[in-house]
Amino acid sequence: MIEAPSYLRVESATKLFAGVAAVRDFTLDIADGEFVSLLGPSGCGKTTLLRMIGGFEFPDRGRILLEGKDIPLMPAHKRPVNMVFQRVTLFPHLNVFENIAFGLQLKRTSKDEIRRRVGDALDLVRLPGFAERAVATLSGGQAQRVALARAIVNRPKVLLFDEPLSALDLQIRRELQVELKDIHRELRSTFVYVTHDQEEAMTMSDRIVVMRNGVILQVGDPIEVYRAPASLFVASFVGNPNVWAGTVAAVQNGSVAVSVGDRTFPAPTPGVPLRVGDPVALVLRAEALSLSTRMTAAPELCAAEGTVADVRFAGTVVSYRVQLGDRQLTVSRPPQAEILHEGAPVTVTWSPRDSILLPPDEDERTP
Amino acid sequence: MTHRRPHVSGLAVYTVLLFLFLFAPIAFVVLFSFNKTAGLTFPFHGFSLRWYRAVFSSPTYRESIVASLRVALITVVVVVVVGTLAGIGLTRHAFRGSGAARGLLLFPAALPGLFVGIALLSFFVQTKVTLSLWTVTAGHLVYVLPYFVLVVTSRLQRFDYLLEEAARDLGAGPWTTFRRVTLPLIAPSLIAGALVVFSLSWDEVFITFFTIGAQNTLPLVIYSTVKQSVDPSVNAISTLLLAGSLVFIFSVRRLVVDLQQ
Repeated sequence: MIEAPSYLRVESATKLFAGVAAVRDFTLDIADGEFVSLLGPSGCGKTTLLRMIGGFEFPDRGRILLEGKDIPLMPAHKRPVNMVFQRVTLFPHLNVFENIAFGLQLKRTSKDEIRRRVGDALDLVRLPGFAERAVATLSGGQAQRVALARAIVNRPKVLLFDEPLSALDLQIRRELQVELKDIHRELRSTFVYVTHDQEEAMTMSDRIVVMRNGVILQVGDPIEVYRAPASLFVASFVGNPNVWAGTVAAVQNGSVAVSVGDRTFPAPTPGVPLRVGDPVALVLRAEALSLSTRMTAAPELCAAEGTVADVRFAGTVVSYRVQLGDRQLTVSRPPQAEILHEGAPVTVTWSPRDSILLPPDEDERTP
Repeated sequence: MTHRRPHVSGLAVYTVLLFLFLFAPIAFVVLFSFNKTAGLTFPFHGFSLRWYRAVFSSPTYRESIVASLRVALITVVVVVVVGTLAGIGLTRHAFRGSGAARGLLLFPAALPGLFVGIALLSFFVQTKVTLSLWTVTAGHLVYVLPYFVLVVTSRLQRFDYLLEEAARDLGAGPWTTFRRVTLPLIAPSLIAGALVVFSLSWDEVFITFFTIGAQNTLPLVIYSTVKQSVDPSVNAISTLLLAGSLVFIFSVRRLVVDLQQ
């Protein structure tokens, strides 16, 4: 099979630190203009992978190809890629203009063009008129915008982001997420974005690469990763779902019956073959569950009765903890719905197709 | 609160005495540098600049000032280069024996000047090196390098190496990164270190005494002048040194503050 060479390709890359693999036999293709997020907990190898693309680390095995050219050993200063770092890395002895012009000056770009391109970059990151400002006078959000401008102005083939918003306040982070997505749409260049924040990855990316222990657990667009997580780890990392341990009670074509305690619920069949008696995890997302004060439910829905144990009003959602015998479920409802109080008897219902059945996480115990 | 009054005035007396102890000798030297007559004690006979004229017309003083300047400036230049490289090496990489290297580099500062002087003298004699201002300079290098390394490593330990990665990311090679990012940011501490080195070398006596050849440095000339005779020109040269170092310190401080902003 002949494939068109991808824009950026990481091929079987392995990076060891003191004999331990930070990134293991990693292969990923990224298309021109794509916004790809590397998502995972700290220590999953996402930053190491990004630094290998940036030329700050070099793979012990494997290749990195940019537009078909092998560049694994090319040092950072010769690579046509630029990075926005997690911490503020603006040069404190230079002003905003000089910081952004740094890369262009090294390439001996003419003064007029530097002035024009720095101006354009400042407009793009919504900081017009900031050229003469001293770096020390910038807020955290402004500093990261300048860092973005400093990278963009060089028109890199790939723009790398190492958790650039993680040190910022929630509100500014949200604002910048929206802007970053807009900027990506405007530039149509390739973004590789490292984050441990699933919401950030979800809202901005074309594709999400979920990583753990240096390997890929799942690659897919945000909706795919959310609706069809490949493993319990991915399901738990994306969103914060309820997970019930159960066993397979019956397998029919197209449906599985799962027994959890003394209850049995229908669930959609997972991708892997199951036999009666297999341990499984039933994943119920808080936002896929409904709460009702009536004790009857439509026959096509799963239902479980319990009492409200805790109510948390968070503004955008109301989060209920419902006690069902010795088990609990977290259910979220819109704040417009009637507010139920602690101790209220309720029925939790969900459609079987909204539940997710996954093998229990055996990797959990391996380092 | 009347009962506190004697206490406060006792403190005031103590403070005045302390400042007298600190500054009276200095005031005395400055005053007598302008004395009309050759007396080194009161009474003061009136102002004149004769001792300053004596200093400026004396070839011994002129030559020794030039010699001291030469030694101090060469010491500064060599120490800034060697010490900066050493500081970078010590702070950036944890190599095998880097702890020992650091300890050995700083060790000479703990040695008595007298010991360093005797050691260098016997070394030069054994290796048959003719004593001159060059041997003095070599001695000063041994003595001042640790101080400079201390100043520069304390700055480099606080240096954010991510700034260098950012520079590399933007296309700067190792040398360009050093010249355009690292050097401008550590320059204030290099200047501060150079200032320390200059002043240490400028009035160094012990090591100089043992390693000096035919040409004398200024501190040795002053020393021998005072020993030989009662010469009030020593007051004049001392006052000039005082004025020089005050101007020097304040202008360098201004420069360091400006660079940091």
